[in-house]
Amino acid sequence: MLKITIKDKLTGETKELNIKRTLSGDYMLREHPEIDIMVLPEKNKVLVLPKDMQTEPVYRLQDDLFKYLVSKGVILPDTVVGGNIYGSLEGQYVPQPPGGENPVQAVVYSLANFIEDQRPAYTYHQEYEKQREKELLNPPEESATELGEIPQEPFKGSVPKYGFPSRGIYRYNY
Amino acid sequence: MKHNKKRNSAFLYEALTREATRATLHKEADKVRFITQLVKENFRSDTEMGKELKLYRELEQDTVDMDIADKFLIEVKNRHDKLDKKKLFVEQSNVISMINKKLGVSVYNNFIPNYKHIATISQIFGDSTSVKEKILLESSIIDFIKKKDVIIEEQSLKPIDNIVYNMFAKKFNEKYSSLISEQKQMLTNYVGSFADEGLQFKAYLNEEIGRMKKEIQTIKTFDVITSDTFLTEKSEKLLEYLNGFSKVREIKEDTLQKLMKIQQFIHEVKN
Repeated sequence: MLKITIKDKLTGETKELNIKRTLSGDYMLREHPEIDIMVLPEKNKVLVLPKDMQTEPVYRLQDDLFKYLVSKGVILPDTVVGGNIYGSLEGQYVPQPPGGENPVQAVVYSLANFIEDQRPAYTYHQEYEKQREKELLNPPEESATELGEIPQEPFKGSVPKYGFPSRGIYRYNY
Repeated sequence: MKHNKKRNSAFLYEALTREATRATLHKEADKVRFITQLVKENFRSDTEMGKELKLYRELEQDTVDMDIADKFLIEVKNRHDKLDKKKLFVEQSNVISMINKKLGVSVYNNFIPNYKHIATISQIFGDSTSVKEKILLESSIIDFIKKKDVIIEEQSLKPIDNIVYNMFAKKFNEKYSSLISEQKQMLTNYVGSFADEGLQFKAYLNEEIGRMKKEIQTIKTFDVITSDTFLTEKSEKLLEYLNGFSKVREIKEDTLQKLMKIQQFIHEVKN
């Protein structure tokens, strides 16, 4: 596990990012709650995978990430494609930039910035979910009734408590 | 040197207690009850087996002073000589018979960590061991009693016996020697995938499937394939399967086997 601290020279702000380096030399960024990011220096590639299911918001997030990397000039725009495995999206970076910069550093720096930009949004979302659950399980006084648990009536409106009897509806007896 | 482990009271006791532990873990209440009863009945302090077990326990200690270790061993041997051997034989036969009939011979295969030590003690107690061997065994037991701490330290530095390691390596190589390098690499990645929730394995698969697709595209142009409609169709199907792999959410063992077969196919056609 590597802990990378990025310091802004102008503002003096620092950003910390946890990165794992595998034995094969790849870098894993797993801080984001929705996606896992891998930087594969051997293939000059960034691979983004969903942590769980590939849903519309997750795809949008992956797309946003690559748009961000392309806008920063880190990833080549024409190389962003769907990967060979479930829910993956990948893009390539230039192996040897003409200016002699280290491409892996540039990629990791941009990824750190993206995750940092995203952090308020997903922290807010997580907190909102927690708060909502808390309110539902332990509602405040004004949202609760004085009667405690109210048993369900045998007939509530037009819907019977145990559903409609299916037997005999069409004059069939099973 | 021959050693009949079934006639070793300490071994029978250890094997039964381990079997009881195993049965407890598997929630086999009847079996546990039966073993507990068997041990209680046959290893009581007034039975010959119980007395013999106590003598084995004496020689497993490491609290004996260096000066009195010899005398200690002689005293233990004297007490063993006083045991009623016929009664001991009958009791052991009874336990062996109950194990064979009710529990099965697999009980004897239970791993006993200090088996080597209790086998040595058994040979010291036995009459069939030659004088020379007996003296050598006795000296090793005395060393054990005196220097148990040192032995443990030495063992901790050498965790696996060379023979065990060589056997393991030999069996592993025998089993997997037929695999090609790509298959070995896939297996290695799969085995290691549990550490990081499969992230690195997924990254590896992403690249490997890309490689396989390219290889099959190339293979499709080979004369052997183009001249045979059956092989062309099958190659198309393989390519279809690999293209559809991005829809496979969970990678199970059968998926892995299929991928390894495709690797084998590519390897065979290319060579």
